[in-house]
Amino acid sequence: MAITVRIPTPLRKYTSGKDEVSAEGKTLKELLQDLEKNYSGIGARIMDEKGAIRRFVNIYLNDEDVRFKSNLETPLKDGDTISIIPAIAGGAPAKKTNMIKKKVYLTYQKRLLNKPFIWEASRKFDVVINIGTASVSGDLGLVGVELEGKASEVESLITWFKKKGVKVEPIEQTVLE
Amino acid sequence: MFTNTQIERYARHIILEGVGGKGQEKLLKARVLVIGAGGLGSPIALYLAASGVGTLGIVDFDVVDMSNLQRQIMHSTATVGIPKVDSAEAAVKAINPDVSVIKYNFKLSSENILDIIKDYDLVIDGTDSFPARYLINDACVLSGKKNVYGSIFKFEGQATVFSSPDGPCLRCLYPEPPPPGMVPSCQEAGVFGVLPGFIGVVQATEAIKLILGTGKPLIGRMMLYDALRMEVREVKIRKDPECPVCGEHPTVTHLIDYEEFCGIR
Repeated sequence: MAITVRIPTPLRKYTSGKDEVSAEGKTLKELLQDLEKNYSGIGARIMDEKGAIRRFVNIYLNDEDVRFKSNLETPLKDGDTISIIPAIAGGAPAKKTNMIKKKVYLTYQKRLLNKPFIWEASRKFDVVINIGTASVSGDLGLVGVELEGKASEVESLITWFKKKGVKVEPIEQTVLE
Repeated sequence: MFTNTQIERYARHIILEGVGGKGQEKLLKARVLVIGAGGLGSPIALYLAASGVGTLGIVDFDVVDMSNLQRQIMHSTATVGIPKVDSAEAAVKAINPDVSVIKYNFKLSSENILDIIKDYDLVIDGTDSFPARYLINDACVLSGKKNVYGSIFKFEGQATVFSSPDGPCLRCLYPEPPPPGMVPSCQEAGVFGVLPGFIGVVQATEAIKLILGTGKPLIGRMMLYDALRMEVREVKIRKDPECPVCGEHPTVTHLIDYEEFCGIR
């Protein structure tokens, strides 16, 4: 009873990169158990804790969705092809959409003047801090910076600045540009 | 009626049985919304423009980045840093000044999508995230617009036409987007540069066929493409009576803004 199983790209890390493997079983359930036996970890990506097929994965027997056959009890025969087809979202990796640039003025009082807090910030956070303008007069410091990084990281940095006693104000785009 | 320039421009369509002058007129009158001006949106917008689709709405909130140019052929080195919708408009107009381009330089949400798609005959989904895809799907079902769907991952792609009256929608296949942690990390993903070209052209082809009302549309079937095997297959997809949005007892009756997520660590 050899059944061909087509493995989608996201699950190929369990099959050492193979896009097609052979498995055995009289029903889909048996086949998936056999698959897990030989490719440990793959089962949990296809089925949930209760053993049901996950809602964002579809399984096709030849070209038919098993949900419209007998689901896990769908009988299989020699020479059948099972295709596992997960939802994919891509047009392109969305990495860039998480990255932001934010221009802010940092103003701070005398007590921070001699503390290298921008140096400290750049070591603590994965954010590029680009200084556009800086002036220190009397007991007040003012630095205009552009913060570039993941949105969440930039926000954490701003919170950290505020905790340090640095006032953070957004710069209107037109001021620096 | 065509102008002399139009007759010259669309000559190969006009003499083509199955399109003809009548078909070309349909294309010129058509209004198509292309969502996403990236890897998929590039060939879609360029071919629809070349074919003479009269009105193209283009939605994208991003700016062109150097790393886009490996696959997003509508943009160029010269347009790095400018909004994708502006770069797209320039590319479309350079091919065919007949096309009127309507730009939407912002992110679609449950607040604005219905108002935008109501003016179009057809929607093409060339986005890159689950939240966008489910939003577009639900909006198309709720407003009765066909959704020409294409999606890619590394070397593989899928394409189909969702939410026609007799066919399934995205939720018939996958009722909910996968939870964060069950999809591969975007950072580790990468994409084969020519892949969106193939899938985008399939989407453009289906859109044009739907406008013309010709051929057998990719409804009730999903095309699966594997670039490494150079293999095209199809599976049957069906309308699910239990579908949460287009089924008999829908539970999704208003639009949902899913959180943006980007997979496992």
